[in-house]
Amino acid sequence: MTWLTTTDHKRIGILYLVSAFAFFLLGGVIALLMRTELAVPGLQVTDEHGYNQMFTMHGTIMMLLFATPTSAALANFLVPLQVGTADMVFPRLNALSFWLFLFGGVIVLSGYAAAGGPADIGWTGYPPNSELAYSTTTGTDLWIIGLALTGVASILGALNFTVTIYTRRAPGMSMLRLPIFCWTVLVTAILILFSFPALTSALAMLLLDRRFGATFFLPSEGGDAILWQHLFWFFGHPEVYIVILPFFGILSEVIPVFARKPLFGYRAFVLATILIGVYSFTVWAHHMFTTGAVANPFFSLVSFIIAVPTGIKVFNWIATMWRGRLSFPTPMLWCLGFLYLFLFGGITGIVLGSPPLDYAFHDTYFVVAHMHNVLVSGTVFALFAGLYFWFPKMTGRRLSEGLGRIHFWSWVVGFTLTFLPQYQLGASGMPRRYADYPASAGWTELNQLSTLGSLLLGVGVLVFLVAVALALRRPPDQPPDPWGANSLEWWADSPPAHHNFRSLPPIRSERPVFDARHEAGP
Amino acid sequence: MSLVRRLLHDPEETRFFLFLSVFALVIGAIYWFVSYEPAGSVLLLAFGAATGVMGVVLHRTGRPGVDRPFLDETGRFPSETPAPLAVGAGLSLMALATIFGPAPLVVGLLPFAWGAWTWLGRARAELDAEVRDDEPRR
Repeated sequence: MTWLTTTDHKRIGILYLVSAFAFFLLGGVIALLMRTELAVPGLQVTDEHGYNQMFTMHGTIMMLLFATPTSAALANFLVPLQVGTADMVFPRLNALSFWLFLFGGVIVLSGYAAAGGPADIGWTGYPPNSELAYSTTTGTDLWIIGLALTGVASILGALNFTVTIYTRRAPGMSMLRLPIFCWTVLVTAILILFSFPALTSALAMLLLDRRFGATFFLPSEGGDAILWQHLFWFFGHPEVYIVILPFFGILSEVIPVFARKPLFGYRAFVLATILIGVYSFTVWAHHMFTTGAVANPFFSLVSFIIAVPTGIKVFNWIATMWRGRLSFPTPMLWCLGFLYLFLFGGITGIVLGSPPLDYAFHDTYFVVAHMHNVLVSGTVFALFAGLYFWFPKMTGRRLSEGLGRIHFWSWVVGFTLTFLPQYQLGASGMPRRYADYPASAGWTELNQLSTLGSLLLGVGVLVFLVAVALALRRPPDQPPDPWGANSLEWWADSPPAHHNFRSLPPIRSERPVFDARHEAGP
Repeated sequence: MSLVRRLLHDPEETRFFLFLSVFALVIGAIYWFVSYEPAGSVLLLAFGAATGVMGVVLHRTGRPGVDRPFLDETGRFPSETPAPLAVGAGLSLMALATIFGPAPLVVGLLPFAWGAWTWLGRARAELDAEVRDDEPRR
């Protein structure tokens, strides 16, 4: 019962985490159903309309009900601990953010109980497909309301993170001694503050079109369907970085600990984070190259430029590991998996940033493979790195190394098998969002490989759930700093007390716990 | 002190917003002249203006020379309360009125109003207690 009334940032973080992970499991089951459908030509699992609903709900759940709130979950748990304060500035508002997110998510899913089923318009909700004439199900209206509520929740949360980081840092913690994870959360929060209003406005306009006779996006009535794409992607591309930046922060916390070195180029990393955030507002229309309604050379150029700060980060991580005293417990393995797979996504992003190539690959499986390479490796791999790393802090218990390694390898192999074939499928012309394909197209074997890989991903998640269940059955036994880590959360007990800290070490760098350990001697 | 020098003495967080603003305004202007496309230009310029407002507010209310951060740990922790849950549930139900008519609005208004009243009452009580705590120090 106390979980329903809590205003403690740690508990709210765990509530976010459990809810978002439940949404992840649901989105994963839908993905497995889609992959099963595509394993062989012909319709076996669902019809075309059901397939539309599946990919709509899969994309919506994974992007907006899993990836975005997962970073909020970790930020909720970690930011006050890392800046050395007892809670967020607005604890009750923090709780309200969580409840709005949860109820918004439930409203999106309640489309399954609506006449006509859930939304069937793709997670991007492009008009005119999302207008009432083409999507008659009430599920689409519930999708709009639910996402608007989760958007408000994100904005309230972002406000809380920004104010907490600006005003509640412990004495001595200047901005350039802030842990990198907090920097990434801060930039993410600012991206949310300035990008989510565009989505909320677009959703309100779409609802007015559907329910109240407005014509914002109806070309036949003088509206402009492309306007939705501008508004959606002005939110949608920063959203990619909203999703990914905190996970970059996780890597930057984990890698130095297991390389036994400080993060290489802290200031360059901070600058790269800010630049990614800033540039992310200028690249939205690379999703719209084929509309013919945007300045393709401009957006192509800035899309190439944004690869530079991302490359700086990858360089930072590799340079941090260079000549370090490396060890490879499970969190570090997940970081390496991230680097390997994220690079594929980054490089294919450069391909898609070129308009002539984008015209060829647009709406094919190449795009599907690219976005999963970026977003799944960027979020899920880093999330698992973070969960294995901070699980002792959250619960006082450690996850099994053996099960963690099985989990990791099933994901690396499963992910490669699932998405690498999709690049080839896209290059040979298989369109995305189709429930079926002809046997004569020659796509069957690659699709079967992809389906096999997705099953392996499902097995990996089951192994993780077993590891969590086994860990939670044991009594808490972890010391405050089981890894020999750097930032302030490791100064608190595991799990931390309600007010987090009994005392704080002097803060003279971005690694106060390392400094304190070093001064105390062996 | 010149404006530029004062800006350079601002804390990182203020310069951060001002940098965002200048960048967005410059890119917005460039974008307009290379595309004459109104929707994107308005979005970029509005982004620049909004971040500019925040930067200016932080600049004007900032305290140059103060050793940040401040460890502002005054105030009390809110006790556990169902108010956020009630406000969230109420708002969510009320939003459904745009689809299902006035019934969810009426149903949602109850938890929303109760939650908001409880929230404000608790906040008031904490503020009063804080004032009482401070009185002996004065």
